[in-house]
Amino acid sequence: MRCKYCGVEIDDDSGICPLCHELAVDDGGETHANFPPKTDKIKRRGSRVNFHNLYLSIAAIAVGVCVALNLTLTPDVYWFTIVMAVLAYGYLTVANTVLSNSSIWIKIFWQIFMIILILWAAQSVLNPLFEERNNWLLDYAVPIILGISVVALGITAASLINKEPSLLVDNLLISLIGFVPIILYATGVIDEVIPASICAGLCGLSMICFVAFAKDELWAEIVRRFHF
Amino acid sequence: MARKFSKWLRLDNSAKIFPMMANKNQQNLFCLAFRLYEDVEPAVLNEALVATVKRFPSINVKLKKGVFWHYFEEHTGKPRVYEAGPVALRRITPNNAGGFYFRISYFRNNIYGEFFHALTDGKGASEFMKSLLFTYFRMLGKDVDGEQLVLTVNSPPNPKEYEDSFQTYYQKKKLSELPIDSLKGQTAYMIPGAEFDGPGMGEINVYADAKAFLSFCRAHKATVTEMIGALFILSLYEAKIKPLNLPPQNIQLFVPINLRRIFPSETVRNFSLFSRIGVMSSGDMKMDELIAHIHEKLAADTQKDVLSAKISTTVYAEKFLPLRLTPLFLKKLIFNFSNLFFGKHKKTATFSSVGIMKLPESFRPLVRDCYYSIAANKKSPITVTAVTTFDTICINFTRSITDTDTEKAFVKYLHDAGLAVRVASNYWEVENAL
Repeated sequence: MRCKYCGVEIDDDSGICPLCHELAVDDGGETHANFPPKTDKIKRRGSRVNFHNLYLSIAAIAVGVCVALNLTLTPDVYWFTIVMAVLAYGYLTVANTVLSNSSIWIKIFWQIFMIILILWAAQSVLNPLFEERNNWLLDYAVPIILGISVVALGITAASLINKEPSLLVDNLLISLIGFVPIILYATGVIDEVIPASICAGLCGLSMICFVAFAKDELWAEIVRRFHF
Repeated sequence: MARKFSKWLRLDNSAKIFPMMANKNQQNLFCLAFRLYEDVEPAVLNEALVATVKRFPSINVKLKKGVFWHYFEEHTGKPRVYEAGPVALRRITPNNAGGFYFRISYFRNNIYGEFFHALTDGKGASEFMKSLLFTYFRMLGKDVDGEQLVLTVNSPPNPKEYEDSFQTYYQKKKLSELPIDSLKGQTAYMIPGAEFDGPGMGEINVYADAKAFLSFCRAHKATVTEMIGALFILSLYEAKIKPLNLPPQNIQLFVPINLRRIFPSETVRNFSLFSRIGVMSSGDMKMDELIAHIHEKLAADTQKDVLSAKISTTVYAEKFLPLRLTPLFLKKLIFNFSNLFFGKHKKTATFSSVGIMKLPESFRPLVRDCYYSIAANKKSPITVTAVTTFDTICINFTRSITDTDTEKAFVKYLHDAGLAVRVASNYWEVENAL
C-alpha cells in the first residue's frame, strides 16, 4: 500500500494513510500488523455513571428532605444528624472499604471512626429525650467496638500469617488504638472502668501473642512499612 | 511448615516519584513491542513469561504503600499474557494485570511489554523483553543463542541487577553545592490540540532502513538522536507554530539520558536522568544549526561531573530528613499541590532515543523489528522515541491529541531527503478504522 499524497509506504492493511487519511493505493507490497484493531467496546470518558457523583447527589437530596421534615414535624429532636451520619457511613464504606486499595488497618480505622460517629449522633439525639446524660458512647460502645475489631483482626492475621503478613502490623496499629478507652478512664473523661479494661486487656493480649509467636514476621513487617 | 518471609525492595531514587504522580488520567507507562516473523503462540509465551519473571526479582513485585514511602513486595503469584486490546498504554492497576505492574500481551505476530516506570526504565525493560524472547524461542525449539547479550533464565539473578545505582554513585554534598536550579526548567511551549474523547492514545510508527538513515545523519554530521531531535523541532514548528503565526515559542524537549553509559551499572531498575533541550522557535531555524545546538546541549549535559552533581541532588532530596519523615499521604498531597501550581508547562515533548537494541544474531530470522513508545499526557501531548533493531530504525510517535500534523511534517522531511519510509498507525483518531 502506498499513499500517493505523502509518498510513503503504508505498513498495515487499513487502506488509508496514517498521515493524511486519504485512501491508499494497493501496490502489491507486503503489509504487517503493528497494532490490534479498534473495537466498539472502548469506554468513552465520562460515559459511565460516576459512583461518587451519584451517591453525593442522592445523599444531598435525602439530607435536604430530612432536614425539612425534621424541622417541620419534630423541631425539638434533631434526628436528621443520624441520617447524615448513616449516609456518610454508607459513602465511606463503598468508597474507602469496597472500592479502595488501602491497607486493612486504614479501612478498619475508618469503619470504627464512622460507626462511632453514628453512635455519637444517636447519643446526641437520644440523651435529651431520656433526661439522663450518661456517656454510654465512650463508656461502653467505643471499648466494645475496638475490642471486637482487635479480636476479629487478630484471628484473621493469625490464620493468614503466611499469605498476608501485612495484617500483623494492621493488628498492631488497631491494638494501639484499643488503649484509648483506658487512657480516657485514667484521665477522667469516662466513668466505666470494666469495658475499658477488657478492651485494653484484649489489645494487650493480642500484642503479646504476636510478639511471642511471630516476632520476626512482625519486625520484618514493621521495617518495611515504616522504612524511611 | 516453615513460615515464608516475603522479600521486599525500596523503590529506587527516580521510581519514588512515579506512584505519587499516577492518577486515573495519567500514569508513567512505556511499551516495548517486538514484531516477529511468525504468529505468537500464547500458551508457550505464557510459560516463557512465568519462567522469565522469576529471573527478574525487581520486576516480579507488587507495589505497596508504606507509612513514609511506597515499596515493592515479592509477588508470589504467576503472571499471564493477555490478548492485546485496542487501547495503547492502558493504565495498569493491581486489578487488571494480576497485581503486577507490567503487562505482556500479544496480537498476531506482535509481543507487547508495557511497564510502569516505577519498576524499570527502557534499558531494564529491554533486558527483560530480550530474556522473555529468548526463553520463548527456546521453548518453541528454535535454535537461539544468548551470545552474552541476554540474561537467561538459567543464570541466577545478580544482586547488582536490582541495586539502586543512584545510591551507589551518590556523593554527599552540601546543599549550596548542588545544582538545584538545573532541575527546575523554564516555561515551555505547550502543543495545542483536541484531546481524544476517551482512553487510549494515537500511535504512529515510522520505519526506515537503519543504514540509509545513518548515512542521512552522517551527511549532516549528526548522530541519530541529534537528527531526530532537530527534525522533530522543525516539524513542530511547521505543523503547530508557523500556521498560526505565533511569536517565538520556547520549545523544550525532555530527553532521558541512560546513566549506565557514563556510570557503569548492571541494574535493571531505573537509572536515568534527563536533559532539557530548549530552542526558541523562529522561521530562520536551520536543520544544521539545530543539530549543532542539540549536540552542544547533550554534550554539556552528559559530562560526568554534571551528571554526578544531578545524581547527588536527586538523592539529597530523597535523604532530606523532614521529607523522609513526612507520611506518604502528605507527601502525595504536597507533591500534587506543588505540581499543580509550579509543575505546569515545563516541557513541550519527550524524546527518548534508545539507540541500537542489541539482539543476538540468532534472533535475526525470528524478530522483524521493534518499537518503543512512551505514554503521552495532557502536559506532554506528543512523545517521540527511536530504536534500531537489526537493519530497521523505528521512530514512534505517541500522542494524546487527535491531529497528526507534526508526524506528517516529520515524515515529509524524511521523504524530501530521499529516504524510503514505511508508516503504520493504530488510527486512534479515525472512526471505524481497521
